[in-house]
Amino acid sequence: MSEQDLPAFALLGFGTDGWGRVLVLGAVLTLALSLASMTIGSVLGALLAWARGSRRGWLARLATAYGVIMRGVPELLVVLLLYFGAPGLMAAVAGLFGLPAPGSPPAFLTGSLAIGLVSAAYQAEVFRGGLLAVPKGQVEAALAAGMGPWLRFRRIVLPQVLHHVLPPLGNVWQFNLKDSALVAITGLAELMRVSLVAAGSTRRPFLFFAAAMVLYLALTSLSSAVFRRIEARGSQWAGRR
Amino acid sequence: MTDAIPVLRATGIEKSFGGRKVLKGIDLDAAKGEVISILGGSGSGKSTFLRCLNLLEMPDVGEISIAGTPAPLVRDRHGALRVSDARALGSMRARTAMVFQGFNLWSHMRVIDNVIAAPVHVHGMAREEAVERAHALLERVGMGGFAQHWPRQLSGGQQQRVAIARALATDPELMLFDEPTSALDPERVREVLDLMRSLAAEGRTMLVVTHEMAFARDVSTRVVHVREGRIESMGPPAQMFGPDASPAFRAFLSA
Repeated sequence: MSEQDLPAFALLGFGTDGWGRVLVLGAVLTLALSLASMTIGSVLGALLAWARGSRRGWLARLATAYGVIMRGVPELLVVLLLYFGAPGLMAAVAGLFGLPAPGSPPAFLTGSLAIGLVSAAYQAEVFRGGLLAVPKGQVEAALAAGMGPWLRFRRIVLPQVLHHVLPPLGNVWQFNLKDSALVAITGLAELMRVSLVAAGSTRRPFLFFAAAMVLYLALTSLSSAVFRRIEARGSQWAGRR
Repeated sequence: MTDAIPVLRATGIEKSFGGRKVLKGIDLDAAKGEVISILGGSGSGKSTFLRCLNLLEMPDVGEISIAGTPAPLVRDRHGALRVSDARALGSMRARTAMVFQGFNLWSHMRVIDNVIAAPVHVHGMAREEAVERAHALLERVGMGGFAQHWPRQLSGGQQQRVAIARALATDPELMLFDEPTSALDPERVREVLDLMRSLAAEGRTMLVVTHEMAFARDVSTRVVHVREGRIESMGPPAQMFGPDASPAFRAFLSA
């Protein structure tokens, strides 16, 4: 019996002819890819937000330029640039030190880095807004009490920034998750890639793309539920919103 | 016996904002237990002066010392003052306390956490001890039942009383009040002034920038009139509010 004749549940199931396991593993990889890129984006985004507010003009301009570039080019381009550009770059750097050229970096690494670099540009905006939303008087009260920079940040600024940034970060996360599908082009077996493969090999594109849609929706709605819960817990002091 | 070392000594404080000279050289000493009301029109520089004392504003020129310890300031090569020792600055600020016009309670902390934050995190007091003291202080400012409230749930007067409890929590040597009643509804002003009156009575050293003439006249030990960035006149309230007051201060009072 050819795969085209198999019933949908068998194709999507976990049996010998089923793609269920592959699809679920793809979804797991998508989640891992998104988490990795979100983390990269958070760290770099926080640094960029700090740089934007820096008194050193060149640093602030550099951070602004980064945002303009990363938000102004297609994400797919960044993914391709890193995946195909990285081996050459690595070989050049290795060459400088007289080392042999290393092989291509894994697709997961370049993929999460590419999406993370884009995510950082958006997260920097979010963090910047969050920092500006902390009233000056909150910091002055901390200064007047003799709190040093770390204590001020940890006890006063950070909790308030988190409150302001969680809702927009949830948004960035959702974009991040969807952008991870672009990494399919590098052959990484995340959800988009495996559904493409399954659709091609079974010639049942509608079935598999619909299945992928359901899995993506499950990931996005589950994660926004998680975000809502964290927000609710962290925002008691600000009242309902 | 008088304390030989003043709690505050400020000498030659000058400050400009964008080329406009706001403070043109202010000298002020405060002895232990003094309550000094600083009066003046808007834009006279009185709040800026107060904010220079704990270096929330950096003066361009001048010297400050708190109970004999000079503020850690040095001149950089352009002649501007800058902080020479951030830790010393922190401990100087920790020995003073400030009450703001806008209260500035930390809005993400409950009332009790606002009061214990500096004792625990800046002064290293044990949490249990800090909590116990905080409850006593909240009781003292009439906010005993509000330890678990969030600042946003309180009226302006209540927030300011909590802010005063927070200021008292570190047992400061000098308390700076920056227009503490100016943001309050008229009917709430009284509860804060009464509290400040009781602090004065227990011998706290206080510098109060205010528009409350009754407080200045009845509570303070000295009244300072700041005009155009200088101390125009100062003296005990009986003198300042009496017939021998300076014409400029009388003009300010009648304005």
